[in-house]
Amino acid sequence: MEKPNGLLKLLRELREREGRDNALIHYLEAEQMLSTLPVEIQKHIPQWVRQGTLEGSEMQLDPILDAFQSIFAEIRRGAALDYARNAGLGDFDNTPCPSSERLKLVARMLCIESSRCLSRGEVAAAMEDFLAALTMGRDLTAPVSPLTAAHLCGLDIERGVLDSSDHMLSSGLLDRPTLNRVAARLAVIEATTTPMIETMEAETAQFLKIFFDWLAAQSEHADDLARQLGQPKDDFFCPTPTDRGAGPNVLGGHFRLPADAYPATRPRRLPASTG
Amino acid sequence: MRNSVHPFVLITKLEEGEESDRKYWQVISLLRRTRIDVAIEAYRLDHGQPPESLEALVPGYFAELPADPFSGGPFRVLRGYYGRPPEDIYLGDGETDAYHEAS
Repeated sequence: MEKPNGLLKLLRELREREGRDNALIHYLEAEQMLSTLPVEIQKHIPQWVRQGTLEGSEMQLDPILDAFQSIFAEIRRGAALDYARNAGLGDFDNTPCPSSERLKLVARMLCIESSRCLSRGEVAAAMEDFLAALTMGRDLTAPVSPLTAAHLCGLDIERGVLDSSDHMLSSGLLDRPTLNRVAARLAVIEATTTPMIETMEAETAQFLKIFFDWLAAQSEHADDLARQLGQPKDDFFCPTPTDRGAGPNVLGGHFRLPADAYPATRPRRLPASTG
Repeated sequence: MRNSVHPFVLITKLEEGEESDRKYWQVISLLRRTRIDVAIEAYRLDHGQPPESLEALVPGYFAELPADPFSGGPFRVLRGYYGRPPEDIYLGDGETDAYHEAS
């Protein structure tokens, strides 16, 4: 087993604090389990991840899918929760991110398992795996403490899963109750896939908070920053929400810092300089 | 805390957002087209043949047809049933070619 990545560690801690299981933990655990596969399969994984398909592999599909069963079970456990949250930004480039390509690989393998089930006439199992893979993609776009990297991975997974649905829908094997279930679930997935713009805005807000917390805590940087940007220092430091804020050239002119975000010794801007 | 934070990173992030948002709407478009596919298959089971037009799916299968998020109007292009083998399933960023003009 590989050492758990930082995001998995963070999410496990969040689970302890919330007292509620989180689908993302199961998906990340499934991704980590790639490292427990037999060596003859593991050695192909970098190539599969790189090219996005199993093409070129000399292995038979059945033994590969059989080896993935515990990974599939972990994804199904996560998808059944119907609850996911992310961990948000860390301190800038130390933000723990998911291994997107490996997550996409396990989702893709579940799609292939769905196809195998269908070819065996196991229609219900095929449909459930298709919906589980789709739910995994949706869950990665979770709106709580979102993360752009996870969101993009989730959208890629949703897209790939939907692209793989042709064979199932055209098989003629789905009966009416099954089609009703698929239709209802697709509508839910559409309604609950978080818009990308919301994640971008939430992440930007987190970014700004981290940035200004840092800036306020280290006011000696204000002179350097103002010099680098060629802007008066007062454009970056405002004492009250009624002031000009960050300035149009830096943050679009609509961001306001809370008055209590500054140390008491922070230099105050004179009213005459507000323009 | 790092000391190399630069606010212009924000500008870059916002510019990247436009492309990322397009990806979201592409997925929504694909979801809606798949919902239409499912409804067509349900119609075929119920009536023994596919509908003559998408409008035949209203109101039995949709209260109103899912709209194309890019045009705001009805879909002009539908997904096709190609029965691709599982080995061809691709989870990447490439544009899907599994569309054809609705007859």
